[in-house]
Amino acid sequence: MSESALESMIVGDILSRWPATADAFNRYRMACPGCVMAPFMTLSEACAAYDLDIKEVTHAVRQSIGQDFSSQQEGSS
Amino acid sequence: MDINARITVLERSSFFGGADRDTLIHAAETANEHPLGKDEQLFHQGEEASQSYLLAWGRVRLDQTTSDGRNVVIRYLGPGDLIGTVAVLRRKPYPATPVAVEDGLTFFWSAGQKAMLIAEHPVLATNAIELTGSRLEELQERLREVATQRVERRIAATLLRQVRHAGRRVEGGVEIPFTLTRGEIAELTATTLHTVSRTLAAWEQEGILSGKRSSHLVITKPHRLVEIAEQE
Repeated sequence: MSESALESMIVGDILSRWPATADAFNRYRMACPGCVMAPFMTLSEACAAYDLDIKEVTHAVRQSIGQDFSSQQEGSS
Repeated sequence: MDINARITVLERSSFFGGADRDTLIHAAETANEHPLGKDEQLFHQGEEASQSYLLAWGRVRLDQTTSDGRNVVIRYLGPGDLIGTVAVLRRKPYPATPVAVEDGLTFFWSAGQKAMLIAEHPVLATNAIELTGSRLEELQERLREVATQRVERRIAATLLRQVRHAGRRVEGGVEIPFTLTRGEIAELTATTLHTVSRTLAAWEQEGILSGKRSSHLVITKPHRLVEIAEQE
């Protein structure tokens, strides 16, 4: 998943597909996990709402997706 | 509607979550159908609860008149929701009046049929407890809001509840895709029409709500509305 694709993804979809990304949102103090508007806002819209740097947040979200995959690999070894 | 079509409707209702094929067939076979026209009242508050309904499609507003004659909107109901079931099971009069907000269709069972369904398929009893519990939770939350919070916050929370119920993303924002008048918002929030009009006008000025005079509210600053609902 490229970072530019992530930017235009719906926050709710990001969180349900990769639950570990909640960590990135929490670190940036974004109240997206569980928010009623998460199904309706893209990541870039959420960053704009919080006046945060889109590239920085998207990068952090992408890093935390990596966490999901690496823990799956550990489980299967 | 044939049995299989009924089963498809029932399957989508959380009252039938986890129910096996036999349960669904039994419920579908014993169901009666009652079409609903817009503005039709399904039954009246205070009447003996003889039938238990399930909304197959459409949307219903649950009205309740208080002892001093005011109207309170308890909640909106959508496809798959039960109407009047708790009253039937408790053998109490219907506590509210369901009004169709658009054309629809309900299935219904008599009190005896409902009791038999639940006795023969215990998963339905568990589901009924879950549904009643979650409605209770919502009402407690609203009661807390009324008791302790500023009205602006309560109005925002009311709108967010409708978004959670049926919100839809559209060009420019998040739409509440059914007619919700300022009067209804006032009744859902236990405040006055004047306060709702004043608050919504201010929000339109701030660009939080669309200023277009269509009957569907569009929230153009969704994050801001959540902030208002959650402010101290």
